[in-house]
Amino acid sequence: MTRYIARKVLEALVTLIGLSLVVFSAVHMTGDPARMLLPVRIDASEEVYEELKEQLGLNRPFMVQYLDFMRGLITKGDFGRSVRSQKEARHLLMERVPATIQLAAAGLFLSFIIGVPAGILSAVKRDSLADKIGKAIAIFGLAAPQFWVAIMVVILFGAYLQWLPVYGSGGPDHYILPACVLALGPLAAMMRLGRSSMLDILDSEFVKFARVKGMRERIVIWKHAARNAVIPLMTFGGLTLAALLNGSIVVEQVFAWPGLGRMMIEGVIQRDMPLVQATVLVSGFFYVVTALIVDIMYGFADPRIRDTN
Amino acid sequence: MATFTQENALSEEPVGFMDRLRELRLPWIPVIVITVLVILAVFADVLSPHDPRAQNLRDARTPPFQTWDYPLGTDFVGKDILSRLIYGARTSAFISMFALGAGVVVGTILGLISGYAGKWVDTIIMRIADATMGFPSILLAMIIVAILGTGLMPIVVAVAVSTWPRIARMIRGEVLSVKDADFVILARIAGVSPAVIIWRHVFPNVLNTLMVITSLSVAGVILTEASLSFLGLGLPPGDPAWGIMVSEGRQSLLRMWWISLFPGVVITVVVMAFNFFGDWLRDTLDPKLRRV
Repeated sequence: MTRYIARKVLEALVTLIGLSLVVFSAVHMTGDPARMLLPVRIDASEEVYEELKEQLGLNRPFMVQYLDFMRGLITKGDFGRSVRSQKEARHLLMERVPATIQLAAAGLFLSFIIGVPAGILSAVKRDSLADKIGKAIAIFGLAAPQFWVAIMVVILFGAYLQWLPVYGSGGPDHYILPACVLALGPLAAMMRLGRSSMLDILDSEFVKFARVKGMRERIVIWKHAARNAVIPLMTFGGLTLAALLNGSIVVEQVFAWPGLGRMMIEGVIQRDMPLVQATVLVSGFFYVVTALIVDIMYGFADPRIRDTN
Repeated sequence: MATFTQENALSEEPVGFMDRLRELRLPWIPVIVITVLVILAVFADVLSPHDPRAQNLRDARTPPFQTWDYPLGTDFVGKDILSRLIYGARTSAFISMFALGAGVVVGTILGLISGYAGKWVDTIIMRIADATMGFPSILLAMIIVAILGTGLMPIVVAVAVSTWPRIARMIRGEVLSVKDADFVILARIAGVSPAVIIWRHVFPNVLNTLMVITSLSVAGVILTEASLSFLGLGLPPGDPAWGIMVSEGRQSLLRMWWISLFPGVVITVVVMAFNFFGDWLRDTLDPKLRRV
């Protein structure tokens, strides 16, 4: 187990270093920060430009700059400054990150709490009406683009019925619509996977044995079968996370949610590279760390996975 | 496909084209949807009643199903929704084709090399593939758009980058199962160069898998492209792309719901069609992939 964890941690570290290198060189390639910082109205002379470059340490070799950036990042949490607002990216991140985490957590919770039981139920009551409805929802959820579903929900519940707020964050009611939309994709995936894994388990020897033994059906299903059906779902934890992150970028945009995703898009469109760098690194970090936790949990749940390479 | 030709050979009855077609159990609805999509994309300029970019201010804000002139209505500057949907099919098909093409070529080559070479080459390629595959595709696309800027080319690259790893992984797996077959080992003993072995002996054996994984990737490619367009990271605003159209509707959601509704319906139907078609192709060509 220790070896398994060590290997997973190492892999995560390598991914993070790779990501930071890619993002840092991307920023390095796309724009000359010194030129961007110089006020446009003044015809800055080459001297001023060189001086600024010197001052910012931009004339040092690439690797030196990268290592310097990483040292600042790790020791002081220094992400540099936004080119547009001149604010420190660190402070901007602090404002945005909690909102995104709250929304993603709500989405994850919803998709799990609805998706897993629904998947199990549709396996138990195979070919019933409930199963068919579940299947239809899963097919729709995997095909409908999230941004469109978000907008349709805004039109229906926000504009026509006016039941729920659809703009920005606020009280608990602000979470309902964005979290539901965010949950749709992962929910569909979990329902489908939960169903097929439950069908496999129901067909297995130990479930048959429990039934032959005369155990009550409810106990067979919920205590014996369902537990085992949930384990394979964890392998898709990483996939679910990726779907949530993808989704939160889009959903935040539609619901004007003040999170990381919106900041990232603003950064990309305004070509504010330090901001893009900060947001991508932070979301990448969250993603890699959560995926690592899922991997380790899976190692505990299923001993076979540790031993295979 | 091999099974029914065998059966027919035994019964020695002549098989017509229609019989063969029936045996395939084609999923008709998805096939029709895809065919219509292709026709719309190819003949967009002939089929669409209006110029997708023309602003007919006099007819602005026409609701759908009111006049034959604008069956699906117009937006706030009088651009015809139907024509934009038809041209959107062209945009989507164009981007998807190039992105998928690039993803398939890169993924296949790397998968073949990775599987055949083994050792450290394999480790490096597969580590990169895993890291890319696990990473959220829109986040990945954002990095690329941030580097290359918005536009057609960056979006193609961005979508291709999120496509290749899955293909490379599958192809590698297939190569591993063929690699130690007698015909490959004999070719190697005969002194055939690795490039020729891969191309002439290994590649034909992974072709089925390649077709299946490619058709299963189409839906994801269309969705990623639409999401990026929606976020304003793809083509410039005003261009006919489904994602952009959905986004345009946001300006006046309450009064002009149809601007966002129709393109979304089209995307959903097309993605569903490709999902079903891919599932069918997998079950027909390569049933052992069912679990993927």
